[in-house]
Order: sequence, then C-alpha cells, then structure tokens
Amino acid sequence: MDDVERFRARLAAAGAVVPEAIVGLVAAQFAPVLDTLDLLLGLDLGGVEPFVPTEQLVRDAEG
Amino acid sequence: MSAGLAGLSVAELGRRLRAREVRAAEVIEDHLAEVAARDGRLHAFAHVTVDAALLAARAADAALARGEGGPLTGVPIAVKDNVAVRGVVGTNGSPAFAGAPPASTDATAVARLRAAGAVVLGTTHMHELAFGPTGVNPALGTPANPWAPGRVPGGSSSGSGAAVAAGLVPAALGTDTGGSVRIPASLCGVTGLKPTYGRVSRAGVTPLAWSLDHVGPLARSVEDVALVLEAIAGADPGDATCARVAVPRYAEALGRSCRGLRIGVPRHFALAGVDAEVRERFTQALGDLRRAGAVVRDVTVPFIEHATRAVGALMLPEADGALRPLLGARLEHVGVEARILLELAKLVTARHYLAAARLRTRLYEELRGVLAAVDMLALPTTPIPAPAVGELTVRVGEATHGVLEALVVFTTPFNLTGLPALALPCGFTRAGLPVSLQLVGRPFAEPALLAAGHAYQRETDWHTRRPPGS
Repeated sequence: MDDVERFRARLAAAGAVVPEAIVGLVAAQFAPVLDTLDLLLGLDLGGVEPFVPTEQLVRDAEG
Repeated sequence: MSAGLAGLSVAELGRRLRAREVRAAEVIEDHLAEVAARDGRLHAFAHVTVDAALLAARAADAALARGEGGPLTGVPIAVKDNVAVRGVVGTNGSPAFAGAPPASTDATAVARLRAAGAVVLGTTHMHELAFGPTGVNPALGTPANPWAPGRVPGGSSSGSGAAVAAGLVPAALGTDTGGSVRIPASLCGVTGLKPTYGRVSRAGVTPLAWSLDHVGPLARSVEDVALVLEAIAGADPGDATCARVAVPRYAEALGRSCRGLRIGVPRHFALAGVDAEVRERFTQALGDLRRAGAVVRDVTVPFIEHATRAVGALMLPEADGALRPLLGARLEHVGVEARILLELAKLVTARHYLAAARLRTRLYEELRGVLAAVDMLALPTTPIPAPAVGELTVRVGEATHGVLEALVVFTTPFNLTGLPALALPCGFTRAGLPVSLQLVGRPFAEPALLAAGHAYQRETDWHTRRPPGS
C-alpha cells in the first residue's frame, strides 16, 4: 500500500471526504503533518493536566 | 488631491488632531482618497465604510473642538473581516458568508476603538475563515504584499498587514490563532502584537479555535501598537475568557531603556531550519539589542518543537466544532482548502486533543521557568521571508519544508501557551523582503515587551522604511 492509499484508508476510517481528484495532493500536503500528531501520544509529559489559560495566566500575572 | 496625511502614524495624527492643526474630516477624507486610488491594486479592503467614516470624523471634530478626545480621536483604523463591524457584512474571507446579514452590533474591540474616538475605515480581506497563514484567498482575492507583488502578504490577517504596510491606514485589528497577526506583520514589514490570552475580548469575533484565538493590533510602530492596545484591552462580560486584570497605561511604559534587560534566545529551536538571510538579520537584531544594553543569552525550552503539532491537534477539532454550526448549509460554498481542513479534523482523535492540551501545560511550565531567569525571549517571527503566491514548499539550507508549517513554526508556541508576543521589523533580505524579530514575555507583561520593542525601534530605522509606491 503506497502513501496515498494509506491516506485514503485513513480518511475512510474517520468518515472524512476529500475529492478524489485532489486526494494525492492533500496526502502530500497534510498526511505527514497528521502523522506527526501521533508523536504527541508518546511524549513523557509527567503528571500534568490539560491547560486552563484563564486560570494559569492570571495566577502567574498576579505573582 | 491627497493632503499627505495618509502614511502618518497614529501618534502623529493624534498629536496634530488634538493641536487642531488638522481636522478629523481631512484625515479621513485623505485616507479614503488613498484607499480609492491604490486599493484596486492592493486589494487589502473587503469593504470601505465611507459614509459611516465621514460621519464619525465629524463627531470626532466636534469632540476635539470641545477640548475632549484622546490619542485615537479622529484616527482611522481598519478591522479584519472576522471582527464584527456594525452595519457591515462580515465575510470571514469566505463566499459562504457573502449573503449574510450585516452585523447588528460591533465586536467589543471595535466598540472600544469607537469609544476612544477612532474612526473605522472599513474591513480587510483575510485568509478564508482565518484558516491559514499565507493570506492566499482564491475566492475573494489575495491582498498584494506591498513589498513584492507576487509574494504572499501572510495571513490570516492579510489585508490588515497589507493596508498598514502600504500606508492606507496607520493601524488595523487582526486576529491570531496560530500566528495570524504576527505572520502578516513579519511578511509585510510592520509591527504586530498578539497580546496575552484574555487581554483583549473576543466577543463579536468569528471563532476559529476558542482556546487559541486572540485579537491584536498591527501598526507601523510599537508606539502605535501600544496606543491601540490601550483602547481595546480589558475585561468584558461578553467573553468569559477575558481576564479581569487591570489595564496599564501602555504608552507610558515606552520610555524605558533596554539597559540590563535579560533576553533569552532558544537557539536550539529558533535558529534551526531558518533561512540564511533571516538568521543574519536576527543575529544582527540581537547585536543591536546588546548595544542598547540588553544582556542576551541562550536558553533551552524543552518541548517547544512540538508546539505546532499540538496547535494542529487543538485547532482542527475546535474549528470543526466552531465553524460547522455557523456555516450550516453554507458549508458547500466554503473554498476547497478550508473544507478539506474541516474534513481532516475528523482524523484528530480525543487522545490527540488531550495529549495536546497536556503538552500545553508542560510547555507553559517550561516557559514559565525560563521566563523566571530572563525577562523575555527573542526569536525570528517567521523562519522565511514572504514566499511566492502558490508556492507549496520552501527550501531552507539542505531541507525542504511545507510553506504552511514553516510560516507558523515560531508563532504557534505562544498561541498554545497564551503568552504575549510582539513582531517587529528587523531588516530586509537582499531581494528587499522584510524580516521580523519576535519578542515574547510573561503573562500580561505587554508593558515590558512594548518598552523593549520601542527601545529597539529608537535604535533602528527598519520600521520607518516604506514599500515602493506608498
């Protein structure tokens, strides 16, 4: 299976629709970027919780 | 015939208006004449509010005659087309909104500008739905880069950047979700500020990604950016994320020198994958800051290289969640690029989104630690100068990068963490394309950033250069 085929399968699995005429172009442009999202899953982030900017930024501004 | 008022700064126009050396009506008429004469080629404006601007100018003159008015009274300003302007159809850069009713109220930032006496001249073109960093918009047109037609103006606040650079307005509002104020500021050679998340209300702004969207000013100097920020900043019950943090007098902070200012350079990140001429200009800017008394040293920011993919993992699903309900059946009229991005949002899983939200905390903690040891960070705003319209990849050294990823790599970390970031011109390539320095500060430390930027602009004249024909 080549890169475009893999991308096409990934789109289908997610229910995403990209016009067939440009699927190769979209794959070339975006598939590498989407692939790197998986790197986020493997990071050792320690015990941190999701960011809440309205709390954290204001707290730090107040010192 | 032009009275030569277009091209003056916010500060200078305000001074002349308050001294009654010139009337607001003359200022506005002069700027409208420039727009009429030059915007056909530039394509920065989506809609020019001629009658409303002339009416507002008369009100400004009346206020000034009574001895009232502040630094923005009678000063023209443009507004990105995703920020509501009463009576104007906000297209958000998309044909999908072309038939929408005009906005019934102003966005909070616009209302505050009007309350400060500024005169809205019109709305500016943008990358469709603010969903891209080039400003290329096949459906509604791409503003020209005033420095080099044929090169992108940067986006998504493309028209705001182009209009300010070309001297059609002294300042404009933009929005910044992944760099959309700073990137056009960089590519068009003007000054742009993404304030701290929560500093400026987003009420009345079409969302792209709720947790990343910011509103900020573009102008031709740090002083002008400070004057606009002072008018638009502050708590707003219309935006739950808007912080109840006191608004300082930003313009009063500008006299500070750089002496002893500690500037950290994340060299491992900021000079990797950077065009050779951008690197030269950035290094020269660091030298200028040193000569002005700053202490520049290298710092390390773990995890910063993951910021762009984290922004992607947050932005795509947030945009899908925000825009699909707004678009409804009009989705079919959205251009191919934005529609594909909304489809690709389906490939981002909840696990990706949560990992990105946790990375955000981790990166923020790392930056907080670094910013305890230095006063601010410096890095290039974009690693490349303006690419050609239609260019999809760019070669930097031995490597080839996608243009979209290259343009946002140094701006996304500060959307992710909400820290304030100021983009300011720091030179030109040999081909005459602007290069930009980015300064990043602690939460709500805009006064320190603006002071450092202003000190830099006192030492250099890059921000005073004008593109050909302006």
